Amino acid sequence: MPITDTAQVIKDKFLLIVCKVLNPFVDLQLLQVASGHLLPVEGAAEIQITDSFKKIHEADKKNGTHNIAFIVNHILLGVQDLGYSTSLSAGALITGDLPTLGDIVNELASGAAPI
Amino acid sequence: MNSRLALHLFSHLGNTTLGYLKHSACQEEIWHPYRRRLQRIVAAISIVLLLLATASSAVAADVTIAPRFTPFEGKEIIRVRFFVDGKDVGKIQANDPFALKADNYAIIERKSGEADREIPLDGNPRPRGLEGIQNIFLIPKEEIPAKGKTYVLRVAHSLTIEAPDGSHGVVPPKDYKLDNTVAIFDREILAPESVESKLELQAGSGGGAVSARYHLRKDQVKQQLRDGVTANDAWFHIDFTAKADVNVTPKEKDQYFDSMVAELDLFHAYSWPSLPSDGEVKKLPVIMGHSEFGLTGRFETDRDFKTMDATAGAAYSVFVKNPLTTWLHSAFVPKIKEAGVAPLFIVAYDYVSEIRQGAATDKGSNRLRAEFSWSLPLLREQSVPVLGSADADALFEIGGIYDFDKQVVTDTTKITLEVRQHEASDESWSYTLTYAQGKATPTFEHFDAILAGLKKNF
Repeated sequence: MPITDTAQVIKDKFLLIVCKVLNPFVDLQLLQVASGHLLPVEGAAEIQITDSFKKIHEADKKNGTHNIAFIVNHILLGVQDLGYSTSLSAGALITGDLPTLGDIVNELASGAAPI
Repeated sequence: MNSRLALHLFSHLGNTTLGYLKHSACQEEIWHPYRRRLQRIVAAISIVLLLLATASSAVAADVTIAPRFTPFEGKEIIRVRFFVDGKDVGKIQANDPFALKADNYAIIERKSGEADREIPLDGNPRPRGLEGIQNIFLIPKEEIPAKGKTYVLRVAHSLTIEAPDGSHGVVPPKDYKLDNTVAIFDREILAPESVESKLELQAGSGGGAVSARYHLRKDQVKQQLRDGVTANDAWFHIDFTAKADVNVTPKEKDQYFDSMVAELDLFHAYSWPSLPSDGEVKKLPVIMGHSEFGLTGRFETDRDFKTMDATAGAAYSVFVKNPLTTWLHSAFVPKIKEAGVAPLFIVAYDYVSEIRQGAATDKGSNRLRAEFSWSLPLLREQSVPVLGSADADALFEIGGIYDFDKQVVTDTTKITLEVRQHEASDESWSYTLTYAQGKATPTFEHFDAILAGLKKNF
């Protein structure tokens, strides 16, 4: 992936990664197929996600599962596949610091640097 | 002062002054040798005043920094954000003389009753961000934080923060508290533990002891993040620990020190079906999900294998994204903006055994647990007495536990109607109306009840 993409193009790709990772966990459709390509649904950046993270975290604590860690790690792996390293805090997802999918993307983008 | 107005005023002042001098010079030739010099001085003063006026007009209303612990590449580092008017939208300039210098920052560790300790940085701050320098990452040379201690980030020189509208503000040099609130979760969920294997032999006047540790860890995802290799959709993790602390003197063999322990923690997690990152997709699968299969086990014994404890567990959990609950999610609240959580199914088996002095006790258990949980949004932002604008959800927890030894099924089903303030904090009160049935501790008598109450998390 060339690092010459504009910031907005890269953020759009980050949003697709976030939607792909979260899609199996949630009851709202985050993805659509347009012209044979996988894309986030219209308005995906405004979707609120904090309550979902809180419930998944509660389930993790109750059942000893690792779903929040899976989500964080696979978002970071997807960003890494695009040629960037960044940081994402599981705590920021659970406590509501990043209430929407767009906020998560901004968090990834403001901490990103080419590998 | 508005910069355009300032430009006009100083331009006018300069022209007026120069005009007066020119006029005077025509009348009095004595000014002639100084005229050019005075013109330059007046012009220079005008430019300086203009720049000052422009700069003062562009100062942003309120800027600050917010350093916070965050996980990065397997370490805990400090991420510094730049805030303008309370929003995380500021940037610093790459040519700022201090912003990207390690000398400008010091991580200070504080503990009551002890002197402050400075933790050195591993190199200069790292500039981050797709749209200019939006954040900087400070990498400490040693592992922080430690329990019972607080940390501040000391900034030695002021930092100039640029707002999205191009205005600037200055963050003063001082100590900034390092936010630890979200990092508590990161340490619990993401932080890697150290892995160490060792063999230790000890000998003394009372005899000797052997202490051995073996730790095997394989973590596919963390390895991929460390190595920067292409991701796949699965995560395999295995953690196996074997420990032995054994005295070689027979008279001390009853002590707790004389033990051997083996522990296993293994899980495999994956989302399904796998979706391509590139390439053509004809249509989305109707059903998607995320599964995790885990095994845990612990075995402890003394060296004679007369006193033994064993626990073992296997669990399979799966989120199933399906058209029915996806439709129901927005059936009562059209155009809902919350994602919600897909139904979660869990099947888990637990075995606990206790053997004392070579004889099996009656404390062992052997049970299977199955559960379905899901929540349905019913209302959003509806007016409710006392609470004002309120949200409501129905929470379904349907399940049971089967005890193989007693051949008894315990129903653990619970359905709750929860009404709470819209966008309330976690600590706010909420109404709850619960229908529960089954056998509850401590009496294990069957009950079937509707309970109303108030709920507050703390």
